[in-house]
Amino acid sequence: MNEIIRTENLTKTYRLGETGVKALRGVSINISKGELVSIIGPSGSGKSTLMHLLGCLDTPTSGKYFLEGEDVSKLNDIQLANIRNKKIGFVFQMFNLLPHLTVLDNIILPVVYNAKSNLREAERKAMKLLESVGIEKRAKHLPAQLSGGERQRVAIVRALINDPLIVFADEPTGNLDSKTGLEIIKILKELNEEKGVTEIIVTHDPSITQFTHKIIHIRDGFIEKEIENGHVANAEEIKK
Amino acid sequence: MKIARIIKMSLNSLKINKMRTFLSMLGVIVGVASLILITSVGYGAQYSILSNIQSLGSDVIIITPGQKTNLFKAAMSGTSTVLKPLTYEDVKYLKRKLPDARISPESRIGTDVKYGNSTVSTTSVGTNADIFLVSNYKIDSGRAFTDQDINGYRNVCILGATTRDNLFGNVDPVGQNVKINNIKYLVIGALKPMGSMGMMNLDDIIVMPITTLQAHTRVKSVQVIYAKAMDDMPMDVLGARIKSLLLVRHGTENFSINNEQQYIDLAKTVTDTFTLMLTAIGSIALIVGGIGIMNIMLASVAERTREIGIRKAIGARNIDVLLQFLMESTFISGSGGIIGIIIGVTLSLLVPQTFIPTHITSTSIIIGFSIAVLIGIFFGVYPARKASLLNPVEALRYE
Ligand SMILES: Nc1ncnc2c1ncn2[C@@H]1O[C@H](COP(=O)(O)OP(=O)(O)OP(=O)(O)O)[C@@H](O)[C@H]1O
Ligand SMILES: [Mg+2]
Repeated sequence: MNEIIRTENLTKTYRLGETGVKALRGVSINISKGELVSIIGPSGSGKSTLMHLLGCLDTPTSGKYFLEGEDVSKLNDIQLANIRNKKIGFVFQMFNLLPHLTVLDNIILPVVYNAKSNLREAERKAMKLLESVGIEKRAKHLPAQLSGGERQRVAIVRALINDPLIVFADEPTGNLDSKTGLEIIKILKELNEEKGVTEIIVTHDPSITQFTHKIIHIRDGFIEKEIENGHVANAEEIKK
Repeated sequence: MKIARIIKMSLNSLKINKMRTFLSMLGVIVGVASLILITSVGYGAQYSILSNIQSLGSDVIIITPGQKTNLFKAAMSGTSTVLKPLTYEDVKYLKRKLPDARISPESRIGTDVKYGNSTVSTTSVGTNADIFLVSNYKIDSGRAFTDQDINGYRNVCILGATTRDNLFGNVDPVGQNVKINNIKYLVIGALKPMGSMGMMNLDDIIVMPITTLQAHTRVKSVQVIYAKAMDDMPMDVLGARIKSLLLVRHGTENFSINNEQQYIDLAKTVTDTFTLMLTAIGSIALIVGGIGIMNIMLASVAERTREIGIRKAIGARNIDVLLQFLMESTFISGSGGIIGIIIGVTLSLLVPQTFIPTHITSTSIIIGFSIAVLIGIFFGVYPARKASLLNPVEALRYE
């Protein structure tokens, strides 16, 4: 198996004055290349915390994290930023687009932060990706002029612009109605099926887990159970 | 990231809130504008002092009314405020007692000169024949003054190069008549060009006998007396002789005797004083402006916490964020500096030159702009650092 993520006993304690909040209490997981993984659990169980650690947005309090075999827990700020820029794409519940930039400028922002990049090329690529999610006409609009579903598509395209190894999606459907949410899941699912992008989707919604290869249940900062999905539903089954 | 991209990013951010960007510039605008204005007044004062001695050699003694202790004040305010002036009688007396010295009076007054249909505004200089020996007035065409011109109150004049060009163009002025206040003056000569001193055009004059000037204008005194020894008498000996002679005539020491170097030193003192004042006023205004920028940048960092989180999540390094915010504060202060320079220069040009002479130098403009930029960098570092060190997860949670 082509391992891409391996963690050993990851913990994260948020310091709040004297006391600490133990958000993760020892998480060990393995994720292979091309896998589509869902993380599910009650509110406050540590899902986002885990995703932030895996996405190199934050560093663990203890434990080890190997990304493509490289020990990430030892890297400095600049190296982590480079990993986020080139290997990782994020999709958030709150979309997190910059309100003053057009859709196109939002999408190429990760490319802007890569000194060796060509912005013209990135724009062409962004337009193609926008077309593939059906909102190429919105390229010059501001995020506020878009619906929630459209904004999340923009966020997905932004996550893909640098051809990442892994896409992390933290409750990508959390701010959308169920129909729009399914459309977003379909896009993510197709991305995994057609391009083989590794994806980790954090969700509250059990119905989403049926499309993923692996389902990780988290509770109180522990992995409660990890289920290999024997009957993965494919993209066509969405939206009947 | 490429610096050009950061610059573009910063400019875009500043465009979003134009009013705030402008308001944050105000302090720097006021600071730089006042800095430019004050320096131009300072340099103007320096030039007006230096222009009194421009046409002299280092071996010339300069006698001005007013006590030495008031030299600074006298130089700053001109000679008009001095109670007991020097007179042409003083000059005649000194010449009688010191036959081997060249002694020349000078009084100036603004004048309109008419020739045919054209009128030009210039400065009348009243003096005597010795002026050609103590100053660098050189006859270009025609002749110099004679003692008969002076003693005879003759209506004769010698034109400075600019005045000649303005009135006569290519025509030879010698032998022509010009009119000042409806009185005819015969042009007996013209001077060689002497160039300019700062913004003062040395050739924009019309020279006439001091006696004639005093007879026809309200100038009854002598503003300056120049003296130069023609034999081997050292300058300080001549100065001491003049001092004792004038003391006898005046009863008290209500005059000062200096040489060119002392005037240059004085001009330096004046400029240094101005520079000090300028530094104090300018620095206070600019520090206030800088604190204003820091304040607004801190507010901006707080307001854009989420934006910073997003930028970091997609791969912005700390240094990228730092540079973006630093550029913003530098642009604010730099643009404020440019606007301040424009305002300062405009105000300097609008000041009536006869009231307060001003002189704008490229040095003060360059220094004004550089200080503005440095202020932006200095006061921008703290907010920019704060932005760059934000934890991305915390920043993304920020509502
Ligand atoms: N920056 C922080 N400082 C302090 N405590 C934090 C911080 N971030 C998270 N926590 C705490 O850590 C625990 C796990 O939070 P986390 O956001 O990972 O939960 P979650 O599973 O994503 O919840 P939700 O489903 O509501 O998004 C919670 O108790 C939360 O209050
Ligand atoms: Mg969460």
